[in-house]
Amino acid sequence: MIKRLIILLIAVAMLGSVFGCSPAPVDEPDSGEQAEVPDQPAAADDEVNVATFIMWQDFIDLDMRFAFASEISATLLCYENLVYYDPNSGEFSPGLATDWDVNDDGTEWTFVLREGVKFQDGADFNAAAVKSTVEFYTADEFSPSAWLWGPVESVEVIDDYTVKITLSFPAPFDIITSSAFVAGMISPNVVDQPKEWFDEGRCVGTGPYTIESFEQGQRLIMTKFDDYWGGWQENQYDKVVFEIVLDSVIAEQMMKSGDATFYRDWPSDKLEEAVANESLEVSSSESYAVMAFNLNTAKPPLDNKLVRQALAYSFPYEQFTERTGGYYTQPRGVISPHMWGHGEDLFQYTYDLDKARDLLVEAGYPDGGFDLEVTYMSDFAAEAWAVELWSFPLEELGIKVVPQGMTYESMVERLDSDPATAQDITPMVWYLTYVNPYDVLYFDYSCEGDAWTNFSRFCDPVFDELINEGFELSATELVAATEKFIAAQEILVDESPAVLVAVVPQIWVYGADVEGFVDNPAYPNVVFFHDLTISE
Amino acid sequence: MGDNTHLLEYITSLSGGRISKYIQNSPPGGGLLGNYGLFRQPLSWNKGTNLNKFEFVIKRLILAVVVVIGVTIITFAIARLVPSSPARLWLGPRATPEQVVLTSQKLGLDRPLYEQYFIYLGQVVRGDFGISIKSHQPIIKDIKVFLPATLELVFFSMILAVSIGIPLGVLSATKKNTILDHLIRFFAVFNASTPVFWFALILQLFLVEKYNLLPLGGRVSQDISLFNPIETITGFYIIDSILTQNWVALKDALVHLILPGIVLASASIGLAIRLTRANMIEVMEQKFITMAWAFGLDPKLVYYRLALKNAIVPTLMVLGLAFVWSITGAILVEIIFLWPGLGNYLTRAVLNFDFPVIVSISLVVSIFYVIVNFLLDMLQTFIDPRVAIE
Repeated sequence: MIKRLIILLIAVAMLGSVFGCSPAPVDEPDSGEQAEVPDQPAAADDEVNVATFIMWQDFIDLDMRFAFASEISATLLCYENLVYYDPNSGEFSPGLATDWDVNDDGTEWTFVLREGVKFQDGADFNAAAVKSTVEFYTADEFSPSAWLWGPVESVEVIDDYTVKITLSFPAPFDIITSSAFVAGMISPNVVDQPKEWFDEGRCVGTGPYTIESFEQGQRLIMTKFDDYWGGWQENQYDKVVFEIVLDSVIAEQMMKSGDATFYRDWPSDKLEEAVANESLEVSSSESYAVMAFNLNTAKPPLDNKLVRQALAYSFPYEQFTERTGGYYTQPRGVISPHMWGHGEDLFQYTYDLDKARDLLVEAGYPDGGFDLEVTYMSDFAAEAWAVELWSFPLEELGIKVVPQGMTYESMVERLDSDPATAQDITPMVWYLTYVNPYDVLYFDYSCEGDAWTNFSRFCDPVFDELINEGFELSATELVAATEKFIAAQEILVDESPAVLVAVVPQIWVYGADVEGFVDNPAYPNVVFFHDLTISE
Repeated sequence: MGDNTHLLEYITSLSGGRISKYIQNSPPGGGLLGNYGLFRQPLSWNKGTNLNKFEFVIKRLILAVVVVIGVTIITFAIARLVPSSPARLWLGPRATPEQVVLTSQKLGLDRPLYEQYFIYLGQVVRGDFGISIKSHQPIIKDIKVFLPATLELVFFSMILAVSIGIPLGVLSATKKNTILDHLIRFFAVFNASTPVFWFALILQLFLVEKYNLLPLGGRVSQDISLFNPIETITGFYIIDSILTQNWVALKDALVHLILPGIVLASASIGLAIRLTRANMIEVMEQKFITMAWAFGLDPKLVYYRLALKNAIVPTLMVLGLAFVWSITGAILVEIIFLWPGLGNYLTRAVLNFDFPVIVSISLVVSIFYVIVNFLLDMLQTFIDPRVAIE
């Protein structure tokens, strides 16, 4: 009996020591401080400001040649561009280049570089570094960066801080170098490193933060670069931790408890909770991405323009906006309202079932009488809501919707199959590579380059010609380029290869103690932490 | 003594020969049959010779290789026959048609299926599991990260299952039809039937959000990663922190194991209780147990040394299989508790048509199944000498 009692007491003591001495989770939403960690020198965490950014997927490619997804949330803190896009002015602002010039035909770009900038390994940023970076990006022909830097024919070092880039054809190189993807400058000391070297959790750029550690599947930690050319002031973040959190419920819990600072995927229909929470702020702005439901124009009855227009009249736009809490709004044309190339006077379809019915009658489908298979991404709630809401008016028209939620990869595999058996409708949200309408118009609607992202299989030579002309003009004449892109969109609106459902919002929920946050839709999913401070 | 001798031999044999050891030590004149000094050597029905055992091991190894190869053939065939475009997935949305064709050739996807399989098998033998189509990382690198994380969690949950489930099963059997028995059985059913995701979220709601007793998820706190990072040696945070004497990280890692470990162990605990109870009750009704009572042996001896050893084998077999299942079956626990494990890795690979990962993980899991089955069989012969190797 006594023996049992002693064993029990020992067990309780062991459990008590585990619970009692363990580091307590952070639970102070307003303080911005970290919980005290026992057995640590108190100075270690008292002086360190840490921001936690919730990532909804693991980091895959930290090699800048391949970083074309959510990695930019981290890589853009480490690598800086020559030029950045400023959405407020609608112009391009200096980054690592302080000035630039272009010749008359848009094939020679001369950049004047910022002086006194160091890479995180101590190397100097100069014209030679730009040259080695361009060579790094173009070396592997299969890398996404090779596509972006494809127009480059040669890079000439004029002097230490002047570099001339010659293109093989006219291209808006200032726009290209402002890209959110694969455009940051890299230290010449690491350009020969293999992909694995970067993917293990390393970066050497000129940016304010560098990677300190990377625990795959868990977190990536970035720490400040003390010698950053932009300098540091009090109350800025010393470290940024990217926590991999795949479940939105957990992410919301972390935000509410103060364990996280920034979260981008808070469901739009539950944002009132965040708005009502005093420890949180909500920021919403229109991104440059438009949600479009692409219609398979290679398959009857969607090969009939009248049917496609009827579908455009059947979508309940206002209801969808309401369903999403007012955050998803109907677009006018393919280009987002705040981006150059947007056509304010473009025709906009409205929800009008009578008109839809008339068009169907004219097309030879007076009672509808056909099914439409609609595939959508099962983990994208807004797409699921859109499909659900659309099914009701379509049913009134005699059209049965067959919804299929699936992964993006499965959707693409279905599209890749014979057009006669592929799905009828596929939604797409295209996040721009750089701020140029050509990007989305080419990849989503051009058949010239046989881009497999042309989900609607739309093909119009006049459209292709217009966007190609627009691309070339955007190197030197933005106004003329805009006219071309608007003319191209007029074709799209008339032909209606896609029902343009909504401008996708960029919704951020972040801690109320964060100051200075301004979202830049040209850099989706990126928080420029160096621009932020923590309120007292 | 004649008839009684045969009777006693028979009864002793039912106990696996153990009971004789205790009979000779029973109190003088105690019990019904008194002190029988006749049985000084335990009877053993394990008549396997060393050569038989060696043959047994070789046969099992050959069978294991056949099973593993069979599994890889099936999964490889299924993964490659499902319509997909690995080259396109590899390159991403901005790939040109020419790049897709060239990448297909580079990845060997244009070769006949059997050739692709043998190339893959050759690489695996050299320790190269190939490259993930989605992450572009060597799969062995991913496995080295995710497998120790999973094994650490699964081992912990199995320790809980064995240390909680089996004693409670014994208690329930020995206190059959009492209130305690009913409570334990209710506990077992609750654990076995409660949905994992619901249980996990409820525990998080109370123990994390409401009472702030335990961390929300992850293997270690952010503070540990920032200020006391664990140096990776084995990938097992518990072991690595002990090896590097990082006691702060050790405590933190143990605390982070508690919630996911409990959730993952819950079904196994329920299973262990029910199986142990059922088998114990069956064994307790056997005549050699009656004989043990008759000889007045200590109850603890009867329950744990005689009865349990005869009853525990089915429970251990099932727990062993549960262990292997958990290696990839714990995906819900991994997602809810932010645990970077193999289940989540494999699930994402399936959704992304990442067939090299699918085949590789199938291979790893099938190897585990084979090893665990083999060990369980060995354990069975060790625990229960009635099971002859031959």
